[in-house]
Amino acid sequence: MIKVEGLSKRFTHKHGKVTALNDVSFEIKDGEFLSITGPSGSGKSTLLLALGGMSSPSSGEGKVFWNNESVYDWNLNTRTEWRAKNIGFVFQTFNLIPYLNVFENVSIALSLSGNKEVNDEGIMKILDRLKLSDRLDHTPNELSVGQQQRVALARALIKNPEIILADEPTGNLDSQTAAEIISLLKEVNQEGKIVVFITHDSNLAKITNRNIKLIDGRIA
Amino acid sequence: MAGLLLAAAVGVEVEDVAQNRVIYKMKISNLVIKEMFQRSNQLFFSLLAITLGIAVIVGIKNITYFSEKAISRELDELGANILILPKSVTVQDYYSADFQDDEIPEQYVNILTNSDIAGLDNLSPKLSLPIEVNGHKTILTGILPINEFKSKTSWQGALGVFSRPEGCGTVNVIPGINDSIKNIVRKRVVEDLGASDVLLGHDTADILKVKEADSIKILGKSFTIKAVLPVTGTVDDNRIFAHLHTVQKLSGKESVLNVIEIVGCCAEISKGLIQKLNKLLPDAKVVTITQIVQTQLNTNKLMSKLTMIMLIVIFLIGGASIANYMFANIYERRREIGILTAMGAKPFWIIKVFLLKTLFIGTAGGLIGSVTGILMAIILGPKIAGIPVLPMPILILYGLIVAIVISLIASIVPVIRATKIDPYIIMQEE
Repeated sequence: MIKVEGLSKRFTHKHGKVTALNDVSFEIKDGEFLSITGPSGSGKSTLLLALGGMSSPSSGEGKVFWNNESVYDWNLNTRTEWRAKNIGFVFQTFNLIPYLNVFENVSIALSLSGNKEVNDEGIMKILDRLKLSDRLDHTPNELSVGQQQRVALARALIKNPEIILADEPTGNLDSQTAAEIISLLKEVNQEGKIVVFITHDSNLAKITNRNIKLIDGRIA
Repeated sequence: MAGLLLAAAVGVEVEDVAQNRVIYKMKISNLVIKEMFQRSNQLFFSLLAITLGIAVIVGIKNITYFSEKAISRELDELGANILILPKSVTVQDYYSADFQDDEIPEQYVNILTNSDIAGLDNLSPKLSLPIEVNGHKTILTGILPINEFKSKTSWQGALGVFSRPEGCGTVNVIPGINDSIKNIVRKRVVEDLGASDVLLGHDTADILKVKEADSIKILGKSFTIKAVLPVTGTVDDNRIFAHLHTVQKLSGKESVLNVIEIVGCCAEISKGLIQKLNKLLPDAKVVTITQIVQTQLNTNKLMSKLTMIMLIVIFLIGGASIANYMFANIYERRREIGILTAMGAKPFWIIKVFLLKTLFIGTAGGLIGSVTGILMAIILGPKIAGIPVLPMPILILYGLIVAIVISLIASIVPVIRATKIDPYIIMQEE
């Protein structure tokens, strides 16, 4: 279970201070399928990164709990290990490592997670499931955008994380491929994982259990 | 198969699994190598900078080593640079007459050879007296051959005085009359000289009309002329050299000397060798032949300075090039670093990735640069410095260490900066 309590995040730019999140509180239950919507600059990505232990609250302003433990009270190494094992990120622009092939892009995530239960055959199973087994030695620039996002999803899933955090995973995809990806995320959720994704598409948000709408860093 | 070969070449584990699929296991080294070759232009120019830098350092080092030896030999031709004289005798006396009435005890040689003073090279005790041979006035100079030093147990420590310490070059006293002649002309050091042997200065031999192997009578004793010395243009041309102990007996001046000439290591002279000698022999006068010492010191200083300046310049250029490459590389890969961090890469893992890369570049640049530098030295050395240059394999290790150290030092700041990249900022750039 994830619990967010009074979370605020402020940035200082050369043009002044910006409040990305302002006293945000909510809970995500185990197995929940959650969407976050809101206009650009409303703090969606900041919230997603904060949930993944990558964006600490501004000093003393809120906490993020993972199974009742405050994530940002851990030291950096503990938080990184926790993220490596429990969080799978998926990004709008896929963010695959350009010089690694499909298999290596997935394999490196497994190496970093320290998960020794999954072996090369496990990687193959995931890639088979995501219809990528015939693209093993292809680099990202040799793949279609849909295939790239599937590799990104495989990379997130390979370490068998508790939570999938997806930042506009369908933002760069055509409607058919977007539907495929959302369908895969739903499948993953049905296997018992928490899935949180950001979307601008209100229709996609409707298929989730719950939607959180952010406006100016606050839950609307 | 090509994939298998490539994977094997870059050191990754390879497995064949069902359905003829090849599986690559990811290692940091694999990640680093693939990244380097993906940006092959950057890699090439960075490697070129470090390779050229190391090639120049190693080449200069190789040439300098042999040119220092050559200069040492040249400087050595200047002869003794330290004189130990009786208190009342001046350097002018030494130059004008080359013999004195005042004497110093031969015991001083024992004191010098048994002392722990470093930098005493080619010790040459000497006793000179004016004589007349067949109506011709000349000087009989007693010298001590090296084998006398070797034969005396108490002088065993003296053998070091015939081999120059590190930094002074090397002067080999090679057995054999021809080399002995060369040595006596320069330093009055000779390997072997029998009790009845003499060496004649060129003018003396000319005037007396004698040649090698002839007999000659000096102070009532018959001597065999072991060699006639070549023309030196100095007082040595009008001189006869015999064994020191023979001259002492003939003159009735047992166990005394006029002078001890020393080729002192110039590096040690600059560190206070003269003061040490004065302290060791308070009843003698220790003087340096300033011109010779200054020439040696100045030459050595110049060589050291030039090498050091080159090393610093190359160090800075090579270091700046690597640092620039690493900064650019890290900037270009900041999103990738953010992704890796999001996937769970700890700061130490990021450091390992970049330091491994630095190590690859340093090792490759060091090896290629060292070999290139040595080849350059062999080919260009004779043309530039006019001396034969031999390969020095130890410089490969030297070049390798310098390249790795430069690369690592230059990478410290960029790599630390890489660990500070905020993954949040990277995501916001999308």
